[in-house]
Parts: sequence; structure tokens; C-alpha cells
Amino acid sequence: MRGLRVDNLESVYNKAVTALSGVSLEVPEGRIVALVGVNGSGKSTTLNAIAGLLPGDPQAVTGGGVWFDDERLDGLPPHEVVRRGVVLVPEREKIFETLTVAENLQASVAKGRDQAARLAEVFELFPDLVPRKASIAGYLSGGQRQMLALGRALLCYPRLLLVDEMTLGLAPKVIAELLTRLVQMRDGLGISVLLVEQNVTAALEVADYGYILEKGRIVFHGTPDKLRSHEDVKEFYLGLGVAGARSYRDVKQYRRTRRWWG
Amino acid sequence: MRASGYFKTRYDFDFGFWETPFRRFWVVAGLCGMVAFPFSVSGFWIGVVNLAAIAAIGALALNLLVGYTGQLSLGHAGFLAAGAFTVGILVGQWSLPIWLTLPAAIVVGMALGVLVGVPALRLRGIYLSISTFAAYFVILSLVIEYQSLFSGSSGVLIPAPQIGSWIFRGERSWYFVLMALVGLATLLCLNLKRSHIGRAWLAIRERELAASALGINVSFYKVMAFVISTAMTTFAGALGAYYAGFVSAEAFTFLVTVEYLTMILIGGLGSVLGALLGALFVTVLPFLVERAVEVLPVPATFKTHLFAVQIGVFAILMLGFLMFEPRGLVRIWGRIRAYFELWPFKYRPLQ
Amino acid sequence: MQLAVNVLVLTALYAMMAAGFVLIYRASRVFNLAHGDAMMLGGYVFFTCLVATGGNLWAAVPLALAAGFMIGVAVYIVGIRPLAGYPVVSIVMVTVAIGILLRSLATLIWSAQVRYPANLLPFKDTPFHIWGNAVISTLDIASIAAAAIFFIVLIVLFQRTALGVRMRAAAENPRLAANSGVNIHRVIALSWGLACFGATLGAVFYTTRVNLEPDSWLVGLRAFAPALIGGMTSLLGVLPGALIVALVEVLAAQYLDPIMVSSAPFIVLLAALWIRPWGLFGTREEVVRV
Repeated sequence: MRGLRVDNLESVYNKAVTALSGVSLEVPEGRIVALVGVNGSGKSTTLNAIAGLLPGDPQAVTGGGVWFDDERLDGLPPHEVVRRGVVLVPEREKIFETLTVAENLQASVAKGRDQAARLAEVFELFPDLVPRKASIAGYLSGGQRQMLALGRALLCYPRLLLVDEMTLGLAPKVIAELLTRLVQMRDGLGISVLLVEQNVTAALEVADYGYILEKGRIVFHGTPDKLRSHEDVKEFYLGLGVAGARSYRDVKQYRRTRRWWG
Repeated sequence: MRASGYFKTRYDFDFGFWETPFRRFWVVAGLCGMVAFPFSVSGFWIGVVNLAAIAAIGALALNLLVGYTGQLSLGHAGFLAAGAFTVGILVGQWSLPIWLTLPAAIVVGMALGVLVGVPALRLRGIYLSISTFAAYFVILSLVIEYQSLFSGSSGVLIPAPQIGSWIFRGERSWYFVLMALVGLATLLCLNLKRSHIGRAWLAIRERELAASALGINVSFYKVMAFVISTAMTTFAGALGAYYAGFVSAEAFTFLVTVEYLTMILIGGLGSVLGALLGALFVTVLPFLVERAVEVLPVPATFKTHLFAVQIGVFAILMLGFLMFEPRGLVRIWGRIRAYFELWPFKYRPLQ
Repeated sequence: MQLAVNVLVLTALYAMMAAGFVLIYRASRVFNLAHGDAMMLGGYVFFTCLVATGGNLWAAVPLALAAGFMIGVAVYIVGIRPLAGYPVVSIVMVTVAIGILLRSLATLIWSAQVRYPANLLPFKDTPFHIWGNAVISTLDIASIAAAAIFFIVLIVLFQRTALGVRMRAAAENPRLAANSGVNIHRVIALSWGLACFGATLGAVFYTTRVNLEPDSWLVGLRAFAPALIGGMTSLLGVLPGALIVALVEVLAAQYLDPIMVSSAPFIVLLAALWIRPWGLFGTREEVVRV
């Protein structure tokens, strides 16, 4: 199968806290897939597990597997995962703060590829970075940082981008622009994207498919239309409150039993 | 049926002195053993245990500072030297009796604690350790200066201590006195742990910012940790001076600091019992290595450079504990106990 | 004038050795207290190479430097990498333990006898007279030149090459660097190798100028002060740091007690820690973060 396949992934922190208990999802080639969920549901954990863990990490994969183009990814160190075309854009610490913009982009490794050509493409996609090539990355604004983070990922010649909470703390206009760029990357460069988001509205605007993650399990998945028309998604994730709900405690998620399976 | 690793079942145990009912039994058994010991072995081994006892006091002191309050101090040898040389100077120049020199050593220790502790307030973690390391070097240079200027290069001779008309000599008499002193030091440490001071130290070690947010005067308790620890250390150094019979700067290399750090590391950081066990272990080790080198077939260089072999074994041991069991012997013992408590189950998952 | 020459030579020595502390701190965020022992071991290897090649400097020096590099890589692989994720304090203790182990090995292999590599050199260290009655020898000039070349190479490496950028990236944020395709283990091992390369380079000049014995590790440890004073994260800061420490040491030896020589760097260190803990060019966050 061309693309990413995650099968029954289980992950544990510090050998004590189970963060993922059986996550399965697929990102076919050339598609944008959204993975949404609230804080603590395990979204970043999933991405980190796919992107590869370093020795000494508190996180460990204890079950299941990750395949990209039918090649096994879990257990590989991060730089090997990058070599196979899967690149992570993390949520925090997404750029090298003490290096300049140009050096940030130079730090990416893409063996045997034309970095100069890709660099030109990156500057085309993110013109804001061009006048700031020599500035220290730590002084960039939030939106510019995200652009630099995406640019840095692009220079690794990814076939799949794992984007973690891209829209956090950004103005709506900037969010819209970044989402447009993602679509441009999919259409122009043929890059698939696994987009992890709390901002469900934004994510479903560009996604071809979506998964909902809750407490380490996928509870629902479908096309954006299907997700948007589901009662519980509307109420809890899209904020389209049902009349009569006074506080978040009334919302389905907290007194839900088995509603999701349907 | 108790859960693994948790042997305290009531809040009383946290505040009480004995922590668990088992302890009472073991302490009494241990006391009996300690009293019987010197009558059942040769003078040589009593001497080894005496050395271990003096080291234990130093280890307890270091444990307070490093293990319990979390301030990594690399200056331990310097404080030991300060205590020893206080005795050396007071006895060598003015022949003061022991009941004056020992308190003097403690006072010197407290002063050093303030001198090193107050500037250390600005520093954290390894920067703090480097400043204590530098302090060690400075103390050592002062001490070497004194030695070369006043007493010739071999050190200061100290006659056996004398209280009233009773002269201290012989391993056995030293043994009982040292055991009593170690017991007192242990009591001090245990009670400090139980008190508000000990709890403040624990909070500082874990998360300084949160401790200060809770209203703990971090600076005060930090300096207090330094003061108490260095006072105990200089006391140990002074005792060592009397026991050895002379004082010399060569005995206070950086390796000594490393030895003490290893003692509390091997025993288990923060644990009083661990400090005692570690002190015993590290003190006895060189003698064991010496016996082993005599008995085992090893290259000739091992026999001529025994010290190198001893520190080599010591370093390997340090590495082993650091890599495989950083929480020390106490933790190993805890694991063994947990295994027997939980049998036939293997573990009890947290969730 | 002679003082100035002495200061310059000492600065060069300290710079070569202190560079290693900075490299390792940036790569692994630890104070490598085994660096002095690495320098001592490098000195012994150099001595053995001299003996084995019959005083052939052109063979002995590169061999010793290569061995020094390998020692650094070995220390990383055996001692530091397995402890990834452990608290910094533990790793510093590991470096202390490794240092003791290296010293033990050196004593067992080469015995505690003091050696004089200078006697094995194919030439005599000829002094030159410059500027009145100041004296500088060939070895002195060589050590200054070596330090200068070493630093120029390092700076060019880190500022201009892609590899250097990746090393700096891995030093700043290992996770992100790994996620950008950088093999951080190779890069960090390279840092350790370079650090011990520098230590061995310093050892080559120190042992030929003075002597070689297992206690030489103390000299190497003195080089910690220039690194800290310049800023543990700044390679360039090593140069002014080394200059300051060398200045204080030479002046102290001249006008105060010669015994103060070995403790002078530490007194300067203490002063620096109290006044400006992050050094001249270090980043301020370092102190609070640690």
C-alpha cells in the first residue's frame, strides 16, 4: 500500500502511563488526513511514535506497528524515518532558535537530492522568509516560525508530512494562508499530510479524511462531511452547542456510553 | 498483602521514627551485632570498621547536602581537610585539648558552610558543583601553604586524644566511641529528615520554584543545609585526624570527594541507611582488592601499582551503579523485598 | 616582555584544551570532568608513538592525534550514549568515573614514572631572542601556531560548512535535528572526538615543554576555567577566557607565591562564577536552565 499505515499502535510513557491503546489509521498517497482530539488524547504521542523515538525518551512503543509503503517504520531512529520520506513538524520547539533562517534550512538533510531547487520552491511558497534569511530564527513571529518549520521539513524531501498543531496561537488569516500552502504542497509536490489539530473546523476545511482520537483510541472516522454531520462532533468538537447544555460537563463526551459506535 | 515497593501502610509511618515495624527489629539486632563484633574479629578488621565509621559520618553529611537537598557539592575533601587542619593547627601550635578542638572544628565547618553556601544561592546544578570544586582547590592551596610553611612537608603529628586522665588508644576503644558518634549522627540525620527542615529540603531538591511558591524560604534552608553538612564534615575530618595520628594535605585529593560521592550513590541518594552502607562498602573495597590481587593470578604490574588497581575497580563499580542502578543498594534491597512480597505475581501495574 | 611571551604560549595551550570542554558541553550538555584525563592519556599515547617511531614527529603526532580522536569517540559510545535521558548530574559523575578509570589504566600500562617526551624529539628546542631580552623557543612558536590553526579550522567548520550547521543544530535541539534527518549520534560522537583531538594536541605541546605523569590530568582540568569564563556555549569565548586565566597565572607566579599557580585558574573561576556565571559570551539562559 502506498502511504502510511498505522496498525493497533500502543505507546507508554515512563513505563507507567498508557497513552495509546490501539490506534489504527491510514494516510493514502497524496491525501491530507486530519487527526483531531482534545488535549491529552494522544495526538502528539501518535506522531512521535511514527516519526521515531530517541534512546532516553520517556515514550516507548509497546505494541502494534507503523508501515510506510509497506516498509516498517517503528523501531527506526528518527533520521532513518526521515530518509524514508516521513518528516515531523513538531508542536513546540519547531525551529533552531539560535541559528539563522538560512542555517535552519541548511540543517535539513536530504541525501542525493537537489537542495538548491527545493530551497527555491520553499522561498516561493513562503515569501515572508526571503527578506529574513540572515535573521536569527528566535526573533521570528509565530506565523513566520511555522513557515520556517514547514520549510525546514520540506527540505528533507518528504513524501509524508506529520504536522503537529500548526494553528496554535496563530491569527485566522495566517492559519488560512498556511492551510492553503498545505493544499499547494499536496497538489503541486504530491506530499501527503497527517494533520493533527485541535482546531477541528480548520482541519476539516482542507482534509480529505478525518480521524477522531479520544484517550488513546480512535473512536470515529470518516470524510469531513460525515464528521461534520455527526451529532457528537458538532456538539463537542465544533462547538455548535445543543440548546440546553449549560456547561461542558453536560456535553455528551462526559456522559457518553457507547454512542460513538454508529 | 502489601503492594510492591510500598512498605508503609499508615501515615504514622511517614512521621514516626521507625518508618516500619520491621525496622525496630532490625535496629535492635544490628545493635547487638555491633556490640559483639569487636570481640570476635582481629584488630585489623576493627580498624577497617573504624575507618568506615569516620567515613560514615562524612557520608551522612554529604548525603544531607547532595542526596536530600539536591545541591551537588564537589568540595567535600576540602571540608574534611579544613576540619583535620583545624585540629592540626590547634594541637600543633597551642596543644589544645580535644574537648576544645572538636567544637572548634565544628565552628570552622559552620563558617565554611556560610562562606560556600551563600554565594551558591545564585547558582544551580552543575554550575554550583563547579563553584564547590573551585572552593575545594582554594582550601587545599591554603592548607598546602600552611603545611609547607609551618610544619615541614610531611604533615602535623597529633598525639592521642586525652579526656581528663583517660587516653584514647587502641582500636577497641576507638570502635565504641566511633560507633556511638555514628549513632548520634544517624539519629541527627533521621530526625532532620522527619522535621520541617527535612521536608523543606526535599521540596527544594524536587522543584525549587514550587517550593518557594509554597512559602519555603529557599535561601535559608539551602544555607542551613550547607552549614549543617559542612559542620558535620569538618567534625569527621577532625575525628580522622585524631584517629590517624597525623594530618597531611596529600590525604585530601579530589579522589576523596569522589569516594564520598560514590558512597552515597552506591548506598542510594537521600537514604540514611544508604549512606552508612555505602561508607562501609567503599572503605572495605580497597582492602578486598588488595587481598584479591594477592590471591588471584594477575599481571605483575597490578601488584606494584596496587593503588591504580584499587581506583580502577572503584571506577568500574561507580560506572556500574550509575548505569544500572542509580538508586543504589537500598533500591536493590527494595527490589528483592518487593519480589518476595509480591510472589507469585510479577508486578502490579500502575493503572 | 618575557611575561607577554609566557602569557601567549600559555594562552595557546589553554585554548587548545579548553575548546574541548566547550565542544562537549554544547554537544552533550555536560561538564566533562574526564577531559584532563583524556589529555593525559593523549600525552601517553604520543609518548608511546614517539618511542615506537624513534622520534619521528611527522608520524608520531598524527598517530597520537588520531588516537585522541578515537578515545573521545570511545568515551562517548561507552559512557555517554547509554545514559541518554539520565539527569545531568549522573552523567557528570560518569565522566568523573571514566576519568579515574583512564588514570588507572595509564598508571598500569605506563607506570607512575615521570616521562620526558622532550628527550625523544629529533631536534633541540632552540630559543630565539626577540624584543630585547625576551626568549621564545621553537616549541613555543609551534604551539601558538597549532592553536591558531586549530581554532581557525574549528570556526570555519562550524560557521561555514553544512556539517558544522548540523552539529550546531544537534547541539541546540537534538530531537529536532534528528527529525530533520541529522544522525545525531554520529554528530555528537564527532564533537567528542574533536574535543579529545584538541586535548591531545594540547598534550603534545605541554608534555614536550614540561613533563608527563599520571597526575598531568590536573593540568588539563585547569583548562576548565577558560572555558567557563568565556562561556560554556561559546567557542570564540575560549580565546579571551584563556588569555585572562593565562595572564592571572603568569602574574601570580611572578609576583606572588609559585604555589598559587595551580590554584590561580580556580580563583579566577570562582570570581567569574560569582560575577558573571554565564561567562563572557555564553547565553544567559544556560545558568537558569541548568
